[in-house]
Amino acid sequence: MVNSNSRFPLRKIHQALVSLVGQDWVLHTREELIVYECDGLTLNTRLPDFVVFPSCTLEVLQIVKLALVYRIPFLARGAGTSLSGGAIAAEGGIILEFSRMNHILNIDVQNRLAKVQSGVVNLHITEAAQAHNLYYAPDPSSQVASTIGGNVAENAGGPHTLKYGVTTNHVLALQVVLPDGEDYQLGTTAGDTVGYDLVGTFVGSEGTLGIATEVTVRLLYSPPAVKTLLAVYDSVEEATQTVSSIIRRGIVPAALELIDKNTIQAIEAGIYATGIPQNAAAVLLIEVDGLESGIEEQLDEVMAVLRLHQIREVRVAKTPSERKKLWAARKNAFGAYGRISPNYYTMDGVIPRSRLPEVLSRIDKLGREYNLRMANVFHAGDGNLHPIILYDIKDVDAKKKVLRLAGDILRCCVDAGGTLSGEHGIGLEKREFMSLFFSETELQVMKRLKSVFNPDNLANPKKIFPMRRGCGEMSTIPENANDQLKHFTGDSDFVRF
Amino acid sequence: MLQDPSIAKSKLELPAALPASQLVDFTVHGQQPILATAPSTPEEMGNILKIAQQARLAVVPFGSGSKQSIGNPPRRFDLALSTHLLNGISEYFPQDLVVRVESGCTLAHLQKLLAADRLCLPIDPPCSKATTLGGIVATNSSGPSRFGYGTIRDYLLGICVIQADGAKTQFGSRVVKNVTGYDMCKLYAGSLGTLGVFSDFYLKLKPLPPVEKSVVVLFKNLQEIQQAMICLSRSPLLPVAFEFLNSDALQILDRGLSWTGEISPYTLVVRFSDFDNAVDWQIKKLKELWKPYCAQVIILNDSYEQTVLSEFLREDHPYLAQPPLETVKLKINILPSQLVGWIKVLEEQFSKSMAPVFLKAHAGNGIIRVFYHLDSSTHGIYYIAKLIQKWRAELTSVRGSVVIESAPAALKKKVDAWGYQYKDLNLMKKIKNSLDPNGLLNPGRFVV
Repeated sequence: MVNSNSRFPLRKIHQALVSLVGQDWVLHTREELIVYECDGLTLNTRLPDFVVFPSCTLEVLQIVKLALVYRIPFLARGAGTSLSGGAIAAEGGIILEFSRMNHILNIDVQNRLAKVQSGVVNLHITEAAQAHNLYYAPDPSSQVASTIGGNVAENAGGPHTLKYGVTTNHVLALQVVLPDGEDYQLGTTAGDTVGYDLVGTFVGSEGTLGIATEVTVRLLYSPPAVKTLLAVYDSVEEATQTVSSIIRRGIVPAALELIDKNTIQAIEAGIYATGIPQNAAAVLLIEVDGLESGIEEQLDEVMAVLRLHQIREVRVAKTPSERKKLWAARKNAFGAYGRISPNYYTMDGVIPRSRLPEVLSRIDKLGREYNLRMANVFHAGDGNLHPIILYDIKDVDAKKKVLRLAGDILRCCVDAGGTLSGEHGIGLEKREFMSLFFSETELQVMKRLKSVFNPDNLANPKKIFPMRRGCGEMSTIPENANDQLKHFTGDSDFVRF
Repeated sequence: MLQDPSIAKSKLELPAALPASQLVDFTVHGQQPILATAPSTPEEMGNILKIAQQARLAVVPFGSGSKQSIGNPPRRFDLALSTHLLNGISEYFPQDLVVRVESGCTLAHLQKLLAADRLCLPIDPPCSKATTLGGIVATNSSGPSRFGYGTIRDYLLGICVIQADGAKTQFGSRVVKNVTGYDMCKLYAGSLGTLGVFSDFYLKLKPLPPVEKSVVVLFKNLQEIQQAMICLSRSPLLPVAFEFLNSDALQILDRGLSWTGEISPYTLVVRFSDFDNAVDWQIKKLKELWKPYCAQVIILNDSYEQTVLSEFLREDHPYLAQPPLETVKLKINILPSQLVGWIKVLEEQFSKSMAPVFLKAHAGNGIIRVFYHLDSSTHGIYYIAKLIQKWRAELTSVRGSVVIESAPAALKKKVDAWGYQYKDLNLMKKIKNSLDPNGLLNPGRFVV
């Protein structure tokens, strides 16, 4: 047992877990648990007491019931790609690891539905459906690794959510195990749900209301025609102005992404290099999709706006493989930062898209004030920023400076009419900032909702809600000495997004 | 001597109180409130709810009243809280495709403003002229275009809610993507005013489509409809509306339009919105796809006819009964693939009906609307009550439902309007108790 001073009877709990799922599916030694001490948010670490691998909803139910008996905290974990600490066992306890619950249960072509276990990887749903020309639309950049259960917990987004909406717009029904030790079906695939929209309430609740074990999602018909283009800029401001003009004209492309200079340089130095000019200040990656007829008109609309701006060049992907290359560059941008900086911190904030030019220049100024290098690659069309703070952990002041800058960036987003997170969630990372956005009364209303599901706070404790009074500090886990920023190796298991 | 509590309540002084002569305008399920107010600011609404809480007044939030027939009769009804003075467009950000509107603002008013900028809120619930945004959010009310665009739930970015105790709260914001805290907008959308009263909303907008055209396709039998539906679901076509009508419903439509087609037993209406050539290509493709199955394809090119068609598909009023008959309006939630099977069941059960039975469905969404004209003096009530219970039992395997949207009081007395019996009902009850602990908001009307 790792922690001999635990307040929980760990030996007894271990035996009970082994009797539920078998010895092979319970981890409990330090060496085994170390992999689970953090997720994509490496700022915080905490070892769980156990990692258990359930194979079905019934086992999840039994594990949760056991946790209730011993009043030990529990949480679910998919691929551990959360960037807000959603999958960190902030108070220790039991992690339910979903890699065995990775079965696609049903693809219903006529009703365009897929029912899957929540450990299924996002991209695998599309792979299973594509024989019928169907796909699952939300595409977080982690989609090759992140699971649908994690996507549900965080209400994951992605580049194409600009046109197609985020996770919550595509989830119709859930099977959940709640902290009362009961399983429930929520929502329906048969027409409208009657009563409160519990699926909508559950999606994005970051594991604090319970654990989803099965997810039924809507599938869409794969658009037969796609056009992807790259607009190369000599100024970031001109690029953000273009984004604002596109939206102002009522054009909603399938995706509208901005990649800045530092990111371009990181990408071009790595294996996903696509030949973007390294001296460009920014590029916009724009995609339109739909039917063959009408696609040229969509492209023309975008081109007409582009012509009003100062653009060095516009490249249209000519082949599917060119298009794939552009997206591979975009989706692997985070990994590429390892090439230009020893460490980096990925942020997430969201602002009204018309305010991109001023907010980006303000963030740029902040970076210079703190003497920290920054990069940016984000969903410009949604106003969803991902400022990346580049730093070197060997610099003794680095951590403090990074966290203070991150706090200032969030304040900047909220001041511009935005919020704390567009798609990464609050988790451990931003809980102390919640009071920037919510009044005490509003937090109380959400806490009352939480208490309905999770009255004893055993399900994913310490997430979302502030622990302290006042606000404005990035959180770390105080009881854990190991709370330093960790070295990022650049080729990590974490797919960042 | 004990005073009649209702007299004590009627003497309460409330801000923005309306004269007693207007109480009749707020009748719900035959019940008239003791008091009515119409606040003109969220703060005033908060003060009213605070007093209501202290005096334990049962409150019914009231927009245009066009959806008040939904649900069960209120268990108690002391105060009508009208939003008709909270009717402004508070902030408009066309550059962000976002608008902030107060809950008493009508959808028609909003759409008019947006249309000037070639924008829209792409929803089309019934009662297009009167219905308010507050009413639409409270009921998650929708129309044919939900097939392509979803419902108000998909466009609600932020919501300002006056809690049961009068506290003003806001969740969400004017940004189009947001995961800061719980997604309270989803909880409130469709909550029928039972968790709080809405004062305003941030809504996401869409550009108006360049072209919109509808195709009316007539079929001789249900097998052909089934084939056509399968065929469409396997095609790349992107209709924004996909509606089913039975012959009685088609006859109503036919009266408003000038075509001289025959009345066929079944009809599918498909609407496309896109660039001109994309719409034309889809219509051509649809004709090819459905050629083996359908009897006749009518393409509406005339914009007047389009408008008439849209209205008939969207509105309820053409299908309502004339006295002494009364309308029973049901909403049956099924899987889209079950449509044909259920139409058969419904036809069989209603085969002896003397009056027309209108069956309309959002075919692609699995939602059937039944308009049945009932003679309350007969055994009709007993008969339909039994049917509803039978159907509800049959639909449990797919978690489907039969909701009585409007009906004579006698029927609602006999059968619960929602009939929701699934296990998560107890979660819903707990949510209601936690956010409205004294049970004062729309008591008795919803599933909890």
